[in-house]
Amino acid sequence: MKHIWVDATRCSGCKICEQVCAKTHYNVQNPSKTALKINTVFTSEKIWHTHTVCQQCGPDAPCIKSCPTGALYWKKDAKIPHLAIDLNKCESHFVCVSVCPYNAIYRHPALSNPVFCDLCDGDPQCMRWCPMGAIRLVE
Amino acid sequence: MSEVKGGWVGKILRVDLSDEKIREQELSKELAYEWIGGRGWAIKILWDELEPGTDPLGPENKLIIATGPLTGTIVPNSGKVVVAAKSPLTGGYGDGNIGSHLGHMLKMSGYDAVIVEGRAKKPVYLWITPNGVEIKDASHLWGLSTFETEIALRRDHGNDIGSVVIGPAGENLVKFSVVITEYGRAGGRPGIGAVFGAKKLKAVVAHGWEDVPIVDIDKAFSLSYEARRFLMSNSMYRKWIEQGTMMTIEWSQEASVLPTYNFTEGVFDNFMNIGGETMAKEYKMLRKGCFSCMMPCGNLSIARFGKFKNTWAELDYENVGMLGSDIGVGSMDEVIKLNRIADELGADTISLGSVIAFAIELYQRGIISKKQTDGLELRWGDVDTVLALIDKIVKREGFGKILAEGVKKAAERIGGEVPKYAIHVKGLEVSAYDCHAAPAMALSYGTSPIGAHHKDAWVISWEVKYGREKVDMTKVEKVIEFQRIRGGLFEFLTVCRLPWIELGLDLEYYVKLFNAITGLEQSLDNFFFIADKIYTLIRSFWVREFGGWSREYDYPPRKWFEIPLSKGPLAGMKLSKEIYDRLLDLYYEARGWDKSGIPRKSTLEKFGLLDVAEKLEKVGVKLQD
Repeated sequence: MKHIWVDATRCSGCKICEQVCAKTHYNVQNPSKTALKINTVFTSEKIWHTHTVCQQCGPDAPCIKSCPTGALYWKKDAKIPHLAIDLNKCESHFVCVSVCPYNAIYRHPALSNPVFCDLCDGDPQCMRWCPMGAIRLVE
Repeated sequence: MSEVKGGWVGKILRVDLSDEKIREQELSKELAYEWIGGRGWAIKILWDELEPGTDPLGPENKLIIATGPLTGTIVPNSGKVVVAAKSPLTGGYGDGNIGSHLGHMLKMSGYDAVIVEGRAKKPVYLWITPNGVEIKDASHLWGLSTFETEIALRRDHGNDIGSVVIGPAGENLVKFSVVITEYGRAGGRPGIGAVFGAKKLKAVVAHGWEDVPIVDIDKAFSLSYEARRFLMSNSMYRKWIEQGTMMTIEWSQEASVLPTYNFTEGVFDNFMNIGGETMAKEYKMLRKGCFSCMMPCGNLSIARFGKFKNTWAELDYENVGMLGSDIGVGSMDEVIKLNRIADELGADTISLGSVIAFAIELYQRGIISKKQTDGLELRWGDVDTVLALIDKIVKREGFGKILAEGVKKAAERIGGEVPKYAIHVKGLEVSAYDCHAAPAMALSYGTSPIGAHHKDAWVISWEVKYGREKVDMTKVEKVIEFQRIRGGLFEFLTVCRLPWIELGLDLEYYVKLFNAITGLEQSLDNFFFIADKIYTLIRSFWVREFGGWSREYDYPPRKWFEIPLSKGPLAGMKLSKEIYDRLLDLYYEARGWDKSGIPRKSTLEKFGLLDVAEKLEKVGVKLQD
């Protein structure tokens, strides 16, 4: 499945992608409401930009299987198939958050629904904005 | 509730470390609209709240950490904060502007600015979130390097935080200590780190998750996207993200302004070894940008040869000039090591380079000997001795204790003709442009509101193109224009100036973005008026603290007047005092200041600062009409 990937050798850790993600999905200036998280990690010897984002596991994803209300589903008729949510069904159990093997679904303190990457329904805005050209779609 | 609608979040946090009181105050409309943010707030608050003669290292000094209305938003390169206080290095107004992730974290925690007062009994740090503000014990962090401190803070609070921290230099009250953020980005050259240290404040850390209010968010994003396209279409963009400010090394060599051997020369034989090309091809390992940065200038570079192999540090032009050519070090591996050490200790790379160069020059001229240097034989480019000297400076031991006061005080202490070799203005060491043959840049250093710093009027590249030898009003006007833009606009909006200065992003973008974000109607002219007002208030602060003013405080280092360059295409050149005085007269006149550099009463009145005039007169300053 196609999912977002960030090239750490190009990334600068500027978090423009996070802001654009939050703007696209929630229409706010608030990088903490992002589905793509960039973490610049340091040790005394090393420094590296890491990222966490939904790997688009497919129709059998653990999050979809474990959702107690069936709110999460696989949207296969989109430009690029992706994980999606039916907000009418979501009851904020957040089981998805705990079962995701990549820790790529998040709970935000001010939101009642989980935050995850839906590839902007096929037109990822983070990719469009990244000034470093670091964000790509990979299989 | 504050009346501001967007950009600003509407609250200022005030922490008194003496009695551990934490208060919130509303951001007044006056502070927001009349002083905008960043440097504007810093000088307004310091002027209003500090008693004249406040001891910079006493509990009465106040520390300001301020964002601006555009900080921490989608606006290109908006990850900045201003840190300010009365300077322990210069005794005047001191501030610094630091690229960081702290700005947006503060705003997402609900605060536009933090004011720290008093002095803690034991080491503490501030932990700021939307859930509350805590003064936390920092005993376990005291004594640690800035890198170790940031790693420890992230272990406790997670990786997604914004922070500024000090290292041993700040703790030991080294007068040119800075605050460090994210492993190697520094700010607050006039000893803001020492103000932290004196307050026993190790760090300010924030983690926020609230929305930052923006009046017209669609417009803010679409304007920013336009700006992004403009920046990326510039033919210099690629080179910029490969080399950042490091390409200036080669330029400075060609223009003969690369500080070499304590600003004795403007050219350095080994410049190629420490230049941008070499860094980009052989040493750079990673890009690092501040929040919202489209032009990351953080060149994370790793030493490849010799005993410092695998040491990494963030390189910028100023740091490499001052801890490279200015002390005669012509190896990138050594420059990386020196920068890493300075950042770990939290000492300003520019001033540190300058005090070391000053000491080496005195030693080489036979003015001081091993007796004064505690047995160290000081030679140009000798990295081991330099490291030993840095250790002494940061621990304030022996000779290091004298140098830890900065070049001005060190020179006065040693006495005689030595002040001639101290490269500073108002006590702040000159950053990395030699001005033997650059009168406008010298004027810019001379009149910079914190002492000799390039942040305000960086006119050097313009001056080289325009003609160094020319002496006219155009040069003075350019200095003032740059001060308005770089020292004013970008400092109070508190965003990075690089998109404008390096890649030519139109200033009108910032006006449009400001209007979209705040919902106000501002014009560039009005911004410039506010910038001039800020300059006049900062000058008034200096005048108040110094009990008057003499134009000599606005002079560049004596060396540029007295000892000509001996190498390179400009050999034989030196600055003319007569020409400098002429430029300074024109500058004062244009600013509405009198012949000795004190704002005239009419000028203060023009800016609505009559209360400032009253206060100045109260401390015995004679104001001309």
